[in-house]
Amino acid sequence: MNGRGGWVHPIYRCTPSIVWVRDAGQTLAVDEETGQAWTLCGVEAVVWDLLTVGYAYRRIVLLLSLIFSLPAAEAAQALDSLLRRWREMDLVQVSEEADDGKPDHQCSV
Amino acid sequence: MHTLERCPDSNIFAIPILSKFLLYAPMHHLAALVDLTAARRLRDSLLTGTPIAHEPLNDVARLLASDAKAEPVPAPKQGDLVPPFLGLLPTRGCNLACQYCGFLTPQESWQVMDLELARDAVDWYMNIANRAGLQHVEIHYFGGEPFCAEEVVDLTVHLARTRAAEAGGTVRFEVTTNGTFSEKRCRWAADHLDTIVLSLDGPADIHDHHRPYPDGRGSFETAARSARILSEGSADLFLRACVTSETVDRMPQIAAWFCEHFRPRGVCFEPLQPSAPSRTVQLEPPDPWAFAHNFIQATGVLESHGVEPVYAAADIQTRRVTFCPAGQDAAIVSPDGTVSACYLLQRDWEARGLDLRLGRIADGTVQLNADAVASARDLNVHNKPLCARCFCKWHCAGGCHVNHAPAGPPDTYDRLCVQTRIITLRNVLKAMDQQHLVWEWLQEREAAAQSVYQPSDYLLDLEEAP
Repeated sequence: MNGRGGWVHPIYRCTPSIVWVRDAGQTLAVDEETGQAWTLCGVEAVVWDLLTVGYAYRRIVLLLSLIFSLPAAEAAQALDSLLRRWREMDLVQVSEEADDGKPDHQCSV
Repeated sequence: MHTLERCPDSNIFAIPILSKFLLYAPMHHLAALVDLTAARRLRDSLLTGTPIAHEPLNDVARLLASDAKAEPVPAPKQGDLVPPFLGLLPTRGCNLACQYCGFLTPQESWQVMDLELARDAVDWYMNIANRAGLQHVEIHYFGGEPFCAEEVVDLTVHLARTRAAEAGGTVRFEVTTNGTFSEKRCRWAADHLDTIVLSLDGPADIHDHHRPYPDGRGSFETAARSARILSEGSADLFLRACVTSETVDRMPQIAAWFCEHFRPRGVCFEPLQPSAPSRTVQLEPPDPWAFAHNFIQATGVLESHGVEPVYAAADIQTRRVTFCPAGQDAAIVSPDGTVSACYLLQRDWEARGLDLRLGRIADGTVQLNADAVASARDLNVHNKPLCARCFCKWHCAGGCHVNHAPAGPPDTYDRLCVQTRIITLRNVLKAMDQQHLVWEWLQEREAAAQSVYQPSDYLLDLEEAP
């Protein structure tokens, strides 16, 4: 827990050298430094999209569970597995920060 | 004047244009300029079935007399409700305080749509589409400002895309937005959505005057930045400018400015819809003649840049019974779960004596009221006395059922009718390569007024024309 009583979750960010483009239902990500490329489809493309517009871990779990009709625990497991793989591939980086559960740029209404 | 019984084909019109008549039969896809004698011969031939000695004119008479060669008259929807699109209102809240906004509601009522409700709405719509065998579906976002509840947008875009892919179909997304969101979100919208209607009223002096933030700062800089980013994306960008009595004469200049600074697919000019806030700040709708005149000029500017001018009520390619979502079975879901036929606020329908609620989504269940669906379908041009003898009726279908609902007889055309009739006439003449006549006609204001205020456009009523 953090000092404000909220759960601490890692915040994942796309590696700065990665650029991506969405085309025909899939996302093509390229590391501009290494030239390595990845094609992300289905759940991978959805997670990538949510991550790159700034959603924090818990909100991505919630959205995945709603999109793919999964129990939250299962959605979290799938997300963990994907993020672990992406960290190993240097697609994403992680920083341990408090997660307020909202996108970092959401308008307040 | 002929009654409908004596005039079974009410879809052949004759509108005076200077010394000629524009003969217009939208269901036959026919338009011609004829003189008064020819128009009378055609009328008589249609009434009596007598051939006309003049062969080319007789060919026209034969064509017009043949139902087989005419498109069927558009009919109201029947049968099961199959929405042509799902409208989602992620929130009624907005981060701007536009001077003329008729959607302003108290901040405490700025409910954001619950994510489970948004999921249920999409699932319901996609299931209907699957059962109906639709391969292509559409979701439209409206507000408030949809991106003030962007989680709803993100969820529903990915959910609908996933469901559509499972069913082997595709889904299109359209959003109407003020463009004052982050650069990151703007790039997302440019790549993920199909159509973006961005409200931009013109250069900074106009836009900032009309569309400030609640603290009084202008929103031009951010909206223009968004327009530039969206110009580079794959989504079709439509710029939508609200026109007032103060800005109407600048429409051609605004059109040129849009084309110089952005790359929109289309530009839509909409006259100000008077509201309580607009009256407070004394913003007035434009004079309809000035609006039509300047729209036609702006159209020339836009077309020279390959940009589509949009005044939807005068779209002569369209034949329809209703102009807006109401009556075409569209389902609009509000943040509180109400499913309605209209984007506008309930208080606005009620002020017109309408109840456009179709049903409700709650706890994963969608309940529609069949009587309400039938009532919404009754909102169509067949039931609008004002439109009965107007040559525009199958294109504008009487306009918005809430904001443009005059119940009067023909010849009581109001502001919206006047500009729609002028712009529609221009569109028909342009399609005939006779656009030069538009300017000649508009310069003869008395003659133009005679055409615009003609109580009946029916060819069969021609006898009463001067």
